[in-house]
Amino acid sequence: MSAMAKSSSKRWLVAAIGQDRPGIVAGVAEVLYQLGCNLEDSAMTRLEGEFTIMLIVSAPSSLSDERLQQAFAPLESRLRLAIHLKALSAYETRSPAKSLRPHIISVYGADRPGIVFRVTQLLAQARVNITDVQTHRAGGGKSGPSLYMLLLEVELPKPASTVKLEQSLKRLAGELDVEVSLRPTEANVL
Amino acid sequence: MSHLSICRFPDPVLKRPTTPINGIDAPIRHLADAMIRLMRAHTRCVGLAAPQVGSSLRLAVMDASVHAKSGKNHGLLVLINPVIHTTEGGSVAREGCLSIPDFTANVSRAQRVLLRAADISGNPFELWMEGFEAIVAQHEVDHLDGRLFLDRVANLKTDVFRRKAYD
Repeated sequence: MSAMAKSSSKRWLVAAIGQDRPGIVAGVAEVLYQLGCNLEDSAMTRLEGEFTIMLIVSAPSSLSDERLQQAFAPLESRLRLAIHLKALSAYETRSPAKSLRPHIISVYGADRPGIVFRVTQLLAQARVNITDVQTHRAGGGKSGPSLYMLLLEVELPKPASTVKLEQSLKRLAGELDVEVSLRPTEANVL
Repeated sequence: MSHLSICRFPDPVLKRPTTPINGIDAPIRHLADAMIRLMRAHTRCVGLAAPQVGSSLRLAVMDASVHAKSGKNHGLLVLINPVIHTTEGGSVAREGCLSIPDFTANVSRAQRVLLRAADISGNPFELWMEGFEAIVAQHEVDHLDGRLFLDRVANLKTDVFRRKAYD
């Protein structure tokens, strides 16, 4: 996007959540299209029966908070979507800094409460920033305990020692009886 | 050894490094045969390592030809005491494992490997493998070192479209 386009538009974060059914993405996209908004980035997925949308949109600067809010009202009743709008300030709309050393942390083991909390607490204390999270749980029942996997994409702050971080993660993994690994992110080359 | 079954994580046998085989006797030959049968019994299974059936012997079987995308390969192999001697290049591909059902992940591996092992008669051999077959060999040798593919996750599944890096 050119600097000029950026200066003449506002940016919003639009979050929408609703029971999964056909038409949710189309409904949200239509509202934004009719208002002259452009979709800049998005994450959308289904969690169990709930479909969730997060969008960054740029809007014409003439678009007011009220008008955007009102435009979603029909969707809120027709698709029973919970919509949340966050206007992004000029500061917030700045692109994040080029990722400091991106790494992947994988944690897996028999599912138990506290895995996410303890691991992310350790990371927060080490000032490690989490940029993406994927989790997966499977199994259970006759096939044995259910397995839980937590995959974190993180940025390590400059002074942090990878070796030290890995050691403290391994120590915690021992306590939680899970496996953990820390590796630099590698791109898919297909 | 006629009724082998698959050990699933968190069975500790999967995280235990294996012991090299000294001398191939009848029980080891039977184990290898049973592992081949078990591998064949699972439609998309292209390799099986001894820890997956509860044994801590350095033994694996593999057959990359079973897979549609296999490319160049050496067909069915019994690997006694295999080691990856040399690796070249890198690739990231999606893997799964009978011992961790319902999980798949993008895993980073060498693109080409020199594998050294002995066959079921104890004759040493070495093979250069590449692409899919090289991935299978590395996955199986990892099992023999007590390592699972989830220890080598390269990126998140959404990473097919990496979020832009900004400056």
